[in-house]
Amino acid sequence: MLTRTLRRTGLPLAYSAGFHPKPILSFGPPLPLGVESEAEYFDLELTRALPEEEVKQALAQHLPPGMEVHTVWKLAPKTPSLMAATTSISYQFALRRKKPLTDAQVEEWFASLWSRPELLVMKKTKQGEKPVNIRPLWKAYELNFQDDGLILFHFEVAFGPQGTIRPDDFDSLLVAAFQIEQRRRTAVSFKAGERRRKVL
Amino acid sequence: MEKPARYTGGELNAVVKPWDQVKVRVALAFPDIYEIGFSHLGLRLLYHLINEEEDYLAERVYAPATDMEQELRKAQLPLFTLESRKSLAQFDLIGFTLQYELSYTNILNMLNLAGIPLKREERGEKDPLIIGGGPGSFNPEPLADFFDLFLLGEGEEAVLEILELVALAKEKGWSKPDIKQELLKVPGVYLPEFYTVEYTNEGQIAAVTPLPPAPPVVQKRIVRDFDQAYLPQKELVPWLEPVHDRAMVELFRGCTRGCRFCQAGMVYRPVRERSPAVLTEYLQKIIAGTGYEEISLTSLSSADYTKIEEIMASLTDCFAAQNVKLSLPSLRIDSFSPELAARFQGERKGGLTFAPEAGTERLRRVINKNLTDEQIMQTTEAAFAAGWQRLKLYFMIGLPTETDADLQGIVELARAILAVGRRLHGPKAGRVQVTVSASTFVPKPHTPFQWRPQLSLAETKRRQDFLQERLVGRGLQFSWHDPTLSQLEGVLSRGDRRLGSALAKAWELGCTFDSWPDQFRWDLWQQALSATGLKVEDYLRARSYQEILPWDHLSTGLKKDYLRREDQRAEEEKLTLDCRTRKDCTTCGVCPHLEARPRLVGGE
Repeated sequence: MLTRTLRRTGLPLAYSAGFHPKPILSFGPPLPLGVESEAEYFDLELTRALPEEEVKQALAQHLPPGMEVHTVWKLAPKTPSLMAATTSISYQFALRRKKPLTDAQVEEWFASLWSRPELLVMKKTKQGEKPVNIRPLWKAYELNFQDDGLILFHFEVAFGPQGTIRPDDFDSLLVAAFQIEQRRRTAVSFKAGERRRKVL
Repeated sequence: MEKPARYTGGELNAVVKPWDQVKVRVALAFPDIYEIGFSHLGLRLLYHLINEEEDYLAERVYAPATDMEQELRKAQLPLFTLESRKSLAQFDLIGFTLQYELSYTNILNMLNLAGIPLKREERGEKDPLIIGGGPGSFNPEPLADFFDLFLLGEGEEAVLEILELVALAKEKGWSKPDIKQELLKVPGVYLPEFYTVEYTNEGQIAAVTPLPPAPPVVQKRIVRDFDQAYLPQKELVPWLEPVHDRAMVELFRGCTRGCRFCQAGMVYRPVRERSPAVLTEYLQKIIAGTGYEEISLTSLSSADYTKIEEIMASLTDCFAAQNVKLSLPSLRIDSFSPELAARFQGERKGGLTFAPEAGTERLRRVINKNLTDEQIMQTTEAAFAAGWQRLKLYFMIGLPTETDADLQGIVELARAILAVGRRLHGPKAGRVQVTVSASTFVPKPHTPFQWRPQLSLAETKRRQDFLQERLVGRGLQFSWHDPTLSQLEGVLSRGDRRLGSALAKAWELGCTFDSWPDQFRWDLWQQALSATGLKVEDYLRARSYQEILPWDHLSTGLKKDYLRREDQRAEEEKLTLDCRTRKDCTTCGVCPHLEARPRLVGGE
């Protein structure tokens, strides 16, 4: 999808060598199926320097409906890749109560989940399913209560060599009390300084 | 659910029009899954053609896979189009493309999923008109119970005339019978209910009688000047990878070769080429608007295009800077060049496919494929010499007059080719692989072989075994098609109206996706046929030249006498020349019948 969008823009794309040349681009952590996102990044290489605004305009004009370009910035040479620089990812789940719990009870429910030293979920591996403790990778959370009864559960998970939590790893923990109406990625955070704007 | 993007729509350049602001709404339906249906060029052309008209809208629907079907039925949701997500039942017209016979049960399933009664006579004024087009409409008789009309020939030529009538009918408040009276006047439109078919006690057709004012013979429609033929302003770009994920354009329609088994080569005559300027201009527009990285130059035998070298060179110049690749869907053995193949068929690491079709020169003369063993050996040798290690050879078994000697010819050809490959690849001889792929010949309507018998199941198996026993050893591979699928294809291909009940029965028993070997249920189909008193043998048998064929009242412009002469020439092992090389020829009858002529770029 993105490759074809880039080709439509007519930007001076740098291509890989070989029999099947492809535009040189790289992505951050992949978005799981069934999750919306308002925070996707990719690095793109061009054959000549162009103003950031021009690149942004070209992308905005050719992206398929429903996709927007937020910001474009130039990277310094040797900037670490998106995958290497990502430290955490934030998600937001919209939850509906299965049982008549008050807001306070919901707060309490999540507080008790947070306070547990170990949260085991079943993860598929090559050897079959095995339990994994996701608690050390869960970094923060916040709850918002909406007028229509929906609960917005924001949470941040670590990403890096120590591992990460897929958003659906939370499903088995939540499913007893809540129905998950919507999953959305809201932010990707990087190591301080590593993805900063090149000084022009 | 597998691949939900099959049902979401929203592809780039998809057209979503305001439902209430058009006069006529058409659902274009492909009776197979998204990945296959999306790849079909014809339906995409019609989609844009209709949507470019202010007063009409066209939306798409593909057969839901079994998992989606179960979810729809469970939730009691009707089958819907990708654009407005409205039920098929809400459209004025549903157009099914009839690309292969083994998709027919899917048509019934799709109608049923939309809550539309299957049989035409059970449908009311509020139900959509069901129309069929594509190669299947040249013998649509097995579907006659279910469809209101069929369009014979090239859809872009007649579809707007049909929509105009439907728009007028809605405006004037005509009933369905009123509209049908008017549709009868549109050339190329066949309304099966206006023809009664009587059968003899032996189950042959005694008479096909048109009810006035229906024409005794319906003539196919064609675009006479292919440079004037419709080309869309933009093309769809999918979210999910379809079978053919690339820009496509037809170099020409029709084929001049005259292979006697080939229905497409017969029914799409005469040959009409597009000029290089039209091709280039269209492709520039489409590549800019889609970002596709590959262009496929499709046609029945693309390498036959008069200026193939020139168009390849100029398109390469035009698109090389953007890294757009060109591809030709098929390679001809008699015009193969390793340079062309390397450029347009991809890396040498991959395989190359050639289609000798038959194992001996004699049998190739029978089918009018003018190709010597020497040419095959030279071409395959050139391919090995240029670096390819894997070759695939495509054959048919059960061609008219075939004997075990012809099968032995396949074996010897494959072994000889393998030996050449091993010699040329020296130390890497172990990597050389020759795959023989054999499908079963199915005689098709409107071809010189339309009267010929098809192999029985037992005989098909015997001949497959014959090959399998002999095509063994290092570097040789044999692949074949499930013979029961070919049996059903043969039944439906030359079928008559009585098969309508069998189709309905097979669907009731649970048959869908018959073209998918893992889903095909020959046992259920046999049950359906015997429940309706029909026999496989009666459809696979030889016909006499005198017999009335179910499709005799449907004309492709070919003279029946030409088909018979060609069949006799096949028996005599005589070749008939390529139409390109003959001047002022009226042999097959298409040109005088359709007031058309072959059009080749750069003069005649």
